[in-house]
Amino acid sequence: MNNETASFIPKTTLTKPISYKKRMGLFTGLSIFLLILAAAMWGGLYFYKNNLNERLASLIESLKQANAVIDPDFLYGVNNLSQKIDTAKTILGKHLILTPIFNFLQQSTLQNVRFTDFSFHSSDTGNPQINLKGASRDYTSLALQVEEFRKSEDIESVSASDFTLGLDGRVNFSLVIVFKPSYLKFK
Amino acid sequence: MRYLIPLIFLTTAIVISYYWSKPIYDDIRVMLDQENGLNNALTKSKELQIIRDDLLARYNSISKSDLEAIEKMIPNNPNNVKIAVEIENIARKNNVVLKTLSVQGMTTPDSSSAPAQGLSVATMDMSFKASAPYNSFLNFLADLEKSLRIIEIKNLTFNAGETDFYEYNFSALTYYSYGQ
Repeated sequence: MNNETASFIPKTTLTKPISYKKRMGLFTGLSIFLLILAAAMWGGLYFYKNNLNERLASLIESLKQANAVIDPDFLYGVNNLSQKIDTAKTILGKHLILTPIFNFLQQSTLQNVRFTDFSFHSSDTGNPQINLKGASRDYTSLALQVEEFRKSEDIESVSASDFTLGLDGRVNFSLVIVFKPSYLKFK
Repeated sequence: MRYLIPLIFLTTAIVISYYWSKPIYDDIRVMLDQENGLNNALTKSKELQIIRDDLLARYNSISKSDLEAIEKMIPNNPNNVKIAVEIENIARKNNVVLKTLSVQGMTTPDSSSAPAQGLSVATMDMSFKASAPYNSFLNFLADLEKSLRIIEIKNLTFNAGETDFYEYNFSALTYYSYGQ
């Protein structure tokens, strides 16, 4: 009798085991990854945009409040005033007054000299000047008068012309006195 | 058949990216630029607030009378009638007889007095003839020079006569601003 025991259970595998879990292909994995990534990006961007919208709305509101505090009308008014002050300074800087001329004439005119015509002229280009017509007792008095005027530091130049001897023996003349602008400046 | 599902996934990913995500991304870029601009504006606005506070403090330190003086010195319009009245009043105060007074309607822009930007300044010419004794004339002249409305005398002529009552011819100009 054969001692070998018969068994119906196979001792070795007859065929390759069937795997129900199919291995995922690289292409499939990549496509799933890209799909998830695209969806995540869309979601992220969507929420970021909403957040940004809220931030923008908040910034616009802050800006409105800040502008309301600034008060553009007030700034316009102050700016206008500031420019007026600057303009006034410029105008006053070149503003000339005439009273010093008459003070000068009163103090510097000699007793033997008399003026009959007075003419003041100022322009933006030249120094202010006066043209005087007058009469002196004699030529010496006229010369002394011109010298007296020239003594002043506020005078740029003095020139005499048109000397004529009148019937009464007096000397008629014309004088042009050019003043330094600083002398006539408004202070 | 094996590649169908991955292809569908891939196509969906592309469609999502191109048709949904890209427009949002483009919007975000624009919005980020806007945010940057708004942040800059807000920073400048805060700087302006500091300047405004400083200006307000300085403005409040100017007395009302000084403000009125500045407005009178350079009014916002020619005010030619007002200047005529002012000269007339100064003449009357000093016993000076005002014979003629002509204030030009035409004006000349004066760019040399105006600031570089904004305010524009113009001059208005005028001429007047007055008669008075010499001392009254001197007082009249001194008052004209003290006038808040600046009167710039460009020409003045007179002749001495036998009596102390002379006729003075003035030509002058005054200033005004005409806005920004």
